[in-house]
Amino acid sequence: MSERLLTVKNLQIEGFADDAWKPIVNGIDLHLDRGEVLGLIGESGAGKSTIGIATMGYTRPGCRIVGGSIDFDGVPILTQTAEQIREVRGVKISYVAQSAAASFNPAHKLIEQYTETPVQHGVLKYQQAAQNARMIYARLELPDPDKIGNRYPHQVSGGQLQRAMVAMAMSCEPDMIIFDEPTTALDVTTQIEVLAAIKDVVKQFNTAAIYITHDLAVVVQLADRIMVLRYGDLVEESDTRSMLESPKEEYTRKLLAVRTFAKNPEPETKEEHSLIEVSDLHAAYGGGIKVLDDINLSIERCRTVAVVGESGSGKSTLARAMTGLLPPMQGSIKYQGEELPRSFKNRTKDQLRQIQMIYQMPDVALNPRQKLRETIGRPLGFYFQMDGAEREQRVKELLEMIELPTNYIDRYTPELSGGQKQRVCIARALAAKPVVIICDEVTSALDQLVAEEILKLLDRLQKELNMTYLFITHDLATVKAIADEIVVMLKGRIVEHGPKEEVLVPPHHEYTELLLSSVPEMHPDWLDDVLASRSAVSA
Amino acid sequence: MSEATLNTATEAKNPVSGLRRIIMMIGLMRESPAGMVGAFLVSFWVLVAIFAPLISPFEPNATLVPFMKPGAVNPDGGTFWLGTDHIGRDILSRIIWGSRTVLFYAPLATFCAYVLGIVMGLVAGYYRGWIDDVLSRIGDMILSFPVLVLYIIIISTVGASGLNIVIAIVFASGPGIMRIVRGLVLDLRNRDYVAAAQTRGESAWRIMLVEILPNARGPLIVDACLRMGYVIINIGVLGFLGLGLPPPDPDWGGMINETRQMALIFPHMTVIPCIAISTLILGFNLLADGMRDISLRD
Repeated sequence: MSERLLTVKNLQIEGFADDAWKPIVNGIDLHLDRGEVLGLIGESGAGKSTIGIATMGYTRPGCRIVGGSIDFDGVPILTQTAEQIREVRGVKISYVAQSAAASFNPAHKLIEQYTETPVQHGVLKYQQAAQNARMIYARLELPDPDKIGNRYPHQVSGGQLQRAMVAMAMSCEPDMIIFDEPTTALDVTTQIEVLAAIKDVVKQFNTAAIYITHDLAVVVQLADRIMVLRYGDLVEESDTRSMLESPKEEYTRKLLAVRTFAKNPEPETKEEHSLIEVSDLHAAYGGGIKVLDDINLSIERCRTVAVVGESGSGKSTLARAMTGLLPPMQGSIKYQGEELPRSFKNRTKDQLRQIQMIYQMPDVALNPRQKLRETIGRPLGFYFQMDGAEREQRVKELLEMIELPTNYIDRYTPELSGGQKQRVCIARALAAKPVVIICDEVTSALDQLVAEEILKLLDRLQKELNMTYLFITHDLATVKAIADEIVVMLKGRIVEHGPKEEVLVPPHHEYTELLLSSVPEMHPDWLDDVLASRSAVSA
Repeated sequence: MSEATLNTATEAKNPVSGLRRIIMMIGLMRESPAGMVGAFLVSFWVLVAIFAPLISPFEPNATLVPFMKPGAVNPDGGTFWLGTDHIGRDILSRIIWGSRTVLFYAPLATFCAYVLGIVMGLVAGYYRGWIDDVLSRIGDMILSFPVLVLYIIIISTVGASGLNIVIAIVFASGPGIMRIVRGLVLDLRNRDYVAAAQTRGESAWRIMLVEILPNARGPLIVDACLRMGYVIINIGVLGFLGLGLPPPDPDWGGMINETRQMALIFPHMTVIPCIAISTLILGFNLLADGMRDISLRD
């Protein structure tokens, strides 16, 4: 049964950066048996994707394989000619990319793209391949499997497209599939469908798989064995259950413990007015489809209100409406009992100062042509007329507050890592001495350990500076960690609203239940249990 | 300090000062052979223009011996290395002094066209709406006109002078630059750092000039370099059509025009200014290529 399929020995890969080749994978050994699923896990920069695609004899531009050997089913991949490797790729090894939306050709129908590989490689005739496609579509529980292949990629949803990509990877019934973060871009409720589909086909066809992800809770559902990577080195390798029960290395323990942070709830303070009172808010883009429908919400001082929902639920639009970037169609936003003008253009400088926002993508939230001195210093000069040594001093204080060294004041933002950039965004918001900070998915672009640090920082700042947060996120783990109150949104409406203790404890609203039960948990039977309980309910 | 911040602290580079950045640019240029050739050609002509009084063997407008072949010796002393023209002016000296003309008016005209184009492009791209419609339609109208006809109409209406050449070029190139800037601004205005500046309460002009424009400069520098080449062609064409700088001051396009009827018998009189114009344009184009290579790399 356990026939060796893939053996990688002492794999070394270098990447070109700053005018020099630098090692990014340092002598990794790896093996995979037929029908086995191996999880590769680590933060960004760990080299997990690089290793995954190197097993096909491929490297991204700017990378090169400098040493080691890869043996796939008796074929020494690294010494093959390009022609010979073509025989293997697509037919015996296939690849599922992170973003299906970016990987499908938007100009061709799904079924054309499915059949391309087997027909090109001469494995199957078109009719036969199309027949198989419909079977696999059905197996992956895509709606209307006989016709869905005739749609173009933009005509199906994100989760369906990702499943269509899994189907495509199966088209030649390969011996091995490489899954490169296939669910990272999906909502939790969609992720669970894709995970179930992957688990099912891998088992059905006895396909070996390498599953690459940064999310330990996801990988434990699928993998038989897990390798933890960091900076191109192997940290720890063992089978899934024993890794969860007794991790040997400190780093693995940290990854496992990553969702344990929880803040102490803030005591509710009743004042005459709520700090922010949103009533009867409706908003739409370009006068078209309604994105926010009758939103009523109040935020008390020094509390954290988390708004949670899937993509398209209108939660980011709510943030844009509150900051005045998207003037609402009707309804009002009251701040300390006083109505705020709809557009930021009509708000006073002081109103703008008191409500600050931190954005989802720190890469585009900071001007890449500015040094931190200017980025953090500008609100100081703008709101408080600080300049010269006084301003310099305050910028340094803010850098200390966000735990960055003060000599970073002369750095440009592209010289910082993702987590550092998000810290700078926080400092820029703090520079305005705000009362409320709106955090729009502030941790979703970051690695889990880094995200955890940011949450801790925000929590500390809240205690020190009596900050009020509106926390917008799709990640329920974040909500559990940081919220005092929870607002659940679905299709532009609020479906449930209340203190954390009430919302997270049954009975839930139907949709809250779906959301909560879709968050992967750190034990290997979670996926099976959830699927079993859901089918029991529907039966 | 947290672990996350420590990890990358060692990786980040030192801050780069202005002077070091220029040295770095030259260092990077070395990796683009085309860019190096371009930089060499441009700096050659710039040096010629700067040191014109020192290196020019004769007065550019002095009539000495007509119809001399290249290398002929002047009876009054000195050599006509590139010959003389039909009224006896030394061609080498006129080429040398002519480089001053072109390297003064071409950058000046390009710069002015950029000031106009950037302002219009920023306004159109940032505000959008009716102001964008008006500016873009005006631009379309000017761009739909053949450039050369436009020049001839403008110069023959207002008369030939250095200032009028600049005005004509600004008028004809401004809309093209506006389109490029507008396109870049339409993309950049949706970045979150612009939203951050807007909700901070910054004025629109500060957002356009401080937040948006510096991020558009890469493509604009490349375009400016290419456009400089076109402007040199246009100045040459205007000179050739007799609409350039008024004689007798040396002007490469004018030199070709004045001697073209003798081109078959005395080819050096026309070929040499042609070569001068071509090498300078080639220089700017290659320099633009080199800069594009570099900017695409990072």
